[in-house]
Amino acid sequence: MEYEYVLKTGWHEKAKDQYDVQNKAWNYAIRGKTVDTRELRVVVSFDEEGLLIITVIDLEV
Amino acid sequence: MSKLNLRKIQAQYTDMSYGFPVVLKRVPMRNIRGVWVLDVNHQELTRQVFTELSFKKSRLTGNEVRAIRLYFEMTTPEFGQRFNVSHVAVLKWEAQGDSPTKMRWPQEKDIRQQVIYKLGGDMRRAYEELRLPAADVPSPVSIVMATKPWLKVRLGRSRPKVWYFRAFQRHQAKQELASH
Repeated sequence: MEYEYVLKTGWHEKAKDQYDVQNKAWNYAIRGKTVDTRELRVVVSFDEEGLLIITVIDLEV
Repeated sequence: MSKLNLRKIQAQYTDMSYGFPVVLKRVPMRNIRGVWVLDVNHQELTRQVFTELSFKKSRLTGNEVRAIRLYFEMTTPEFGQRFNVSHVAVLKWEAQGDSPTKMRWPQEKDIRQQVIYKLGGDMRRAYEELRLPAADVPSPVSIVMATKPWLKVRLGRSRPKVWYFRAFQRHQAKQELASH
């Protein structure tokens, strides 16, 4: 739920984008704040059928 | 891995992504990059989860209240203002974690009805079913999935989408017969 809010309101952190050699796809980093102002980084990728959430990192832990 | 092995129906799966346990039964799964994940329409599932949560037979837990607040993208002061309590009260509810919040039943009923209203749910059912307080013993939200028409199940050659649609129609017909 919180990651959805970050995906809607966050920004593309280009410096953290990585190419996944094994799956031959780019992983993109989206950074933003949750409703409770916690800083998150959401790493997403794209598949033939849609968006994949690879991982969600809490930057305040 | 062959194409047919990329999808399966799992008997039971406990989804913790909402911050509280949601028990899904007969759930379509899909293997993506070596990991089994849910193969469902996520938005529809979320809608279903919050509807079930509103009609739950036991009291809401702290984590469930938090999930409701986050689903509607409200801060604690906004949530408190909407339900006429201080943001400290909201924080106290949420601090209960997996235990019931101990809020008064009219307050909880108001929250549940608000969720149903915002999701465009059945308000008549809400007024009828929420008249009496829910039980104090916590129980997880449980959803049986494979008979739901919104699932968009695609299982390759063995069980095509239409199979589920027909199964759902048969299920509906049986229910109609039983109600008459």
